[in-house]
Amino acid sequence: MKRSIGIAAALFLLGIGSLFALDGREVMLRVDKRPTGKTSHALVRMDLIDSKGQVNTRSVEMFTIKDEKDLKKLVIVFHAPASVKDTRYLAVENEGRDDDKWIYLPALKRVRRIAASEGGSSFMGSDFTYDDMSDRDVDRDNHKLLREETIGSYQCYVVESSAKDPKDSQYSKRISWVAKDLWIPVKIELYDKKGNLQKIATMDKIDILQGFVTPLQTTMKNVQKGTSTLLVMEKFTWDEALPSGLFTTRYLETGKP
Amino acid sequence: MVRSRFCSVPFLVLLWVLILAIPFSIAASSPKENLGESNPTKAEDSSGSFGGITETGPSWSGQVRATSRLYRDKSAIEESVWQPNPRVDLSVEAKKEQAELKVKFRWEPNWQIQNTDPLFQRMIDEAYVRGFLGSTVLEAGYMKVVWGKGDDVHVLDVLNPTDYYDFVNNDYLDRRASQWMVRIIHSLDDMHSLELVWEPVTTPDRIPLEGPWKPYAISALEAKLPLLLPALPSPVSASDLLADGTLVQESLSTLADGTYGIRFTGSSHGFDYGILYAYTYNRQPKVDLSRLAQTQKVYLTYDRIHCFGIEGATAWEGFNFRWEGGYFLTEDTKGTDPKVRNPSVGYVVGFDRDVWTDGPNLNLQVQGILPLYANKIDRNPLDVEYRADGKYTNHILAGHLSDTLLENKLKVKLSTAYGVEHRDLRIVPELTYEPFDDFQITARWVQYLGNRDTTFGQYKDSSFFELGVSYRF
Repeated sequence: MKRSIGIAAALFLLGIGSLFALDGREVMLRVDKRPTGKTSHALVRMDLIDSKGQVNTRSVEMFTIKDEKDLKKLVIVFHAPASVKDTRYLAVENEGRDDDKWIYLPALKRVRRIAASEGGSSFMGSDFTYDDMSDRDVDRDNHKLLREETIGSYQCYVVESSAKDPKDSQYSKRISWVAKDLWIPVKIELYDKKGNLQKIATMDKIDILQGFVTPLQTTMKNVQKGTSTLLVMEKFTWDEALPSGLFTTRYLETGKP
Repeated sequence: MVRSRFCSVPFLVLLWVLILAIPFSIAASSPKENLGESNPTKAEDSSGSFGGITETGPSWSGQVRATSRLYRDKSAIEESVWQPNPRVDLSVEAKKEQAELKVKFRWEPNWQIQNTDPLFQRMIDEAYVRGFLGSTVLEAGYMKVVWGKGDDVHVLDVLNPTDYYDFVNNDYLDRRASQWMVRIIHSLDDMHSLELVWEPVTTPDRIPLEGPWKPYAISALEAKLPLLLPALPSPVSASDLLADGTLVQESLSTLADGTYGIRFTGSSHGFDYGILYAYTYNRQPKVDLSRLAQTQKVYLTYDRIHCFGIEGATAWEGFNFRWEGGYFLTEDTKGTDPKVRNPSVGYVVGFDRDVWTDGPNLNLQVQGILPLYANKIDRNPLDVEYRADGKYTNHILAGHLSDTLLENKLKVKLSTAYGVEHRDLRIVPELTYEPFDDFQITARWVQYLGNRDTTFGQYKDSSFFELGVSYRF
């Protein structure tokens, strides 16, 4: 009897717990904690489509690694077009302070530290910003679960996120449609500082690679400018053994880990 | 003389090149590096590597440029007001696991006709090998290395001469000339490294004796020499004097004239920092008239310097701050020798930031050079640093404001450099249109203002409008 009460109480508490847990923050925490590999390595094609439909293609290679504290390092190597070839970018996530970011520009032959706030700048002239390409700490934003909704074949939680410190984000708010079964946003609306819809990101292709949910094709559409960017993972691996020397300023300068 | 002092250098450095090329050649048959130890799944079928860190083999790239300049003052050039200026750059790289070879060819007839360096140096922009031995990188060859955290403005970048034939070029590296050197970079850990540089000989700055970029100091010397040496014709040209031996440029061709440098750099807690020492020369010549009476010759000589420097960079509240500071100790430690420059200190302090998110970028930097014991210079009109106006410090405020428009196809940039003490100015409004990737159309106006004995004012007759197209491949 005592045992049955205990189980019933536990089930009740679990039920209450899960009801309360599924607020906006919990949804975004589950997105953030979605299992991924310790490292990733991707060859990415970016098609920049201007308002007249003209397409310019960029090619970059991206490497990420997570340390034991789950802090991430990111390296981006620019392969094409020729004007940006061999430009290399390194971002190191820090605990309790801004990320460190450096860029190596072959034209200057120098590794240059850049401010974290430059994350709001366009990434290679695309509709993505550097921040769009990076993870964002869940607790830098307030999250509100708006509703549940179906998009295509995905049952989604719809969550509105806005920065606790308005200066801490290039957007006034983001609304994310998070697929319930995959814990990945399949659509994100991004609103500018004036509160107007600025961009819409959609995950066009999601797959399970090496057991991990992986977005393979994303479109970012700037509804204000009429431009869009198609980001395609042409090749992707999780848990590749990447040398630690890859995530250093020395690699940026020499191109050798 | 000037042109022959390099003769022994290529052999010496080529020896280093050969030594370093050994791992390059023996690694020729190495398979591509396999980073994947976990047999990863790919998003799409693929064979072979991704490229990037695993990239090996030969590659080439380059740029074709054609520009035409309309000079404001006809006297700035001899032939015509419109001066076409084609240029082709071709970079060839060969990479193996443990070594790589890079050669950058340059063909620019107008620049090469003016420049009197050996053909090799006029045609080769850089040529070096790089070897990777664990945590150590070895580089040797004819190359450019940038020291200091400044953006295009430095006081610690003491390893390469400045090319005043190319003083107006947009790219900082194009304003620097390559130098034979050996460089070793040893990583102490992921964020700290120690760098050693040896230049067998020290190459002076390349200074044109004719043409639109001839410095005022050369013109002033040409005007002054017939007064000091009545046997000389008037007017006289510095290039003729150099040819007949009346003007003698000090040779720095022996191993004792080498440059030695050591630099420690690191990064922690959001700060990049560095400390360096270099034993080198001030690469700008000074006019030595002290032997005129005995030899009837004028000497262009150089001062040995010990350079002690610190540098740093950090990002805060959207600002990218950077600074350099240096103490340049000459052999005239007390400022009493009129033939030798006084010790000096120099600094660069600056920042850049986007004015607003994804908006215009503002870059501002101040460079200051302050000779020590300036009062002793001012008391002696025969001192090599003497100036009639008594202004011995030199501060330059450099800045640019840039933005992109038309879906990043149009770049607008306004660059300025202002000499604080001498009130001279360089101002460059510039438009770059890129209708499609790698193809650019550029229009810029380069205006120099100020008195003729100032850094920018000396070129005021050479202000120009330039229109150009370029294609990268």
